[in-house]
Amino acid sequence: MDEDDQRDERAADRSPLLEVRNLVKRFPVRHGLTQRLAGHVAAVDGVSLTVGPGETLGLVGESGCGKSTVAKLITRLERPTSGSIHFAARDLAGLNETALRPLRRDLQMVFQDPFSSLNPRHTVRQILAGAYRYQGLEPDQPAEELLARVGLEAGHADRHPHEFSGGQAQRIGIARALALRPKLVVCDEPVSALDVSVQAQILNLLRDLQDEYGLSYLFIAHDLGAVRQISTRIAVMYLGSVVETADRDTLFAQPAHPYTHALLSAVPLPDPDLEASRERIVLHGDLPSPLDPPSGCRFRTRCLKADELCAAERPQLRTIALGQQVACHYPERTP
Amino acid sequence: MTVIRKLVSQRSAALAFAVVAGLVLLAVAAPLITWIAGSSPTAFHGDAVDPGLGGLPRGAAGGISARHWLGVEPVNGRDVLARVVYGAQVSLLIAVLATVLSVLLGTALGLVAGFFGGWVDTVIGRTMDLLLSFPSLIFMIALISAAPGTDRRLLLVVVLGFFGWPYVGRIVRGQAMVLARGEFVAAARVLGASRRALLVREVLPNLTGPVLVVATMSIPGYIATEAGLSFLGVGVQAPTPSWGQMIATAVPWYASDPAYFLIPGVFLFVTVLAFNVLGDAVRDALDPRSQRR
Repeated sequence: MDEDDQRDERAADRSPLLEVRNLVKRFPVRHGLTQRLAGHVAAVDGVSLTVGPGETLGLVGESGCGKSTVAKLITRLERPTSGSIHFAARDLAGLNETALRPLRRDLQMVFQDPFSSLNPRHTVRQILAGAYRYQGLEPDQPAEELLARVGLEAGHADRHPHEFSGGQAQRIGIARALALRPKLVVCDEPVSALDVSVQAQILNLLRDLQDEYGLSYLFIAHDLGAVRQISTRIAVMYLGSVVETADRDTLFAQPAHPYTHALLSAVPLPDPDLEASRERIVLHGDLPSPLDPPSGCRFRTRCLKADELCAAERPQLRTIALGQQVACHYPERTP
Repeated sequence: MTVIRKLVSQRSAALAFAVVAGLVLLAVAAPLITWIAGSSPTAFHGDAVDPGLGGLPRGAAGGISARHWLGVEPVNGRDVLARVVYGAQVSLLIAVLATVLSVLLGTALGLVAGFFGGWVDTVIGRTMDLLLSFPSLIFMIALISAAPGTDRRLLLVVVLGFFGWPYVGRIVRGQAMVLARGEFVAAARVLGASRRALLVREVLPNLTGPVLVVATMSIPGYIATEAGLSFLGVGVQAPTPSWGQMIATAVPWYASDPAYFLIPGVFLFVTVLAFNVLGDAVRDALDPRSQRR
């Protein structure tokens, strides 16, 4: 990334809450009986993104593109191989657990599977009290109050997780994440395990809570519909890196990266005539293995526009319009 | 509580539960029973045996009479009932304490190995493999005979527990590995939980089911091993009674006084069977596939 791009970006996001730079996570790959080291797979390969105060950044991509690993790195469930995670004026990337503990109050997470994220042996009250106990704090809000905030009843406090529906269980997960009054909540596919009707309720709840407490979200999903509903900005990931970021409306109206374009054309339209007449871009082939990624642009093996330059040189994220950045040699929209 | 209700609803399990409860009562009430029966496990009764017949008990079926409800031992005439109930006390106590020891060791080490993985797991895992592949019975015999003067009961508890913990540890380790990757553990980590809190508050409560099952299943094994060691002469020593030791001394008398051989044998058989049935039932009752949802 060159100087100009960085300056443009700073102008666009004045003092972001979270600023991730060139985040890389490589996992060792072991083979055979002797667990011989066969190489490394870069699940996250140079991700940069920012989340401003009160903003929701949607992070979309196919399964296996590394978006959940990004969530685990930002919440420091995993240690990054390199790169920086600036949050609350600290770089979380290198901190140990003791140094992280007080910072975790401001940075919480909502998980994908509402049931496996709640300890089956604990009551809801114990689950919610854990938030304070693990921080060494006295509970400042009783479980009943937290439950009321997420639309559950006080009587639910002494039940166990298996007595709830998926949507209710996810509300408990959200209540737990909010107990410490965080500034940023990382939501890792929070609705993808739920029924469609329940998804909308949870998305509305997340939006209401954002308005009420001025929360910022990093909202990870593979469902463009959900992301469109809740995000102010959207970042698109492909094979371990961000290929495009833009304001929600810009991204949906004028996608610049061929991959974004293809993703959007796969979203069904509600109007059948429009659906029948529109141009669809169908991607061929599978996501390449991150063990052996293609040279140059990661997307070139499935891209309609790819040529020699794409195979030789990896495109960097650059600003092509106000608030829109793309990593492509031949963006659909030129600066 | 639901587990107990589930157990009792099954007839074989209810019977096994009753037998185990009865045995525990028998062992606990041993002094009371001998007081009612008017006997003692160590008093000799020369008048109850016939020296002319090589010390064979007088009367039918090993000398069963109003004074000696289950007969007397050949030669010295000790009361068999008193020795059986005191023997139950010794056998159950050793088995239960050995189980407690192996469960504590196995749970703690298995939990640490499964949760942390890496070199901790390698060290603990290899130690478990080593102990499991060890010819433990031979080692126990050698160790116990090489330690004279110590209390055999205590020594048995320590040796049985030491060789038994890897069976618990292996199961706990596997469960802890799965649980450690669970999202609720990740959720607790995001809240800032210390490693100790993760182990004790998040993972450990989820292990009570499997641990309870191994514990119930290991008690009959320890009762049988203790009896076996006593039979081989390296277990509980006279005058302290034990079932295995009674069976061992009864062997030369099996033809002339079969009751002396049968009575402790039946007690041992019923006890081991009841504990095994109960263990199976506990496993079924705690199996998530047979439960709720």
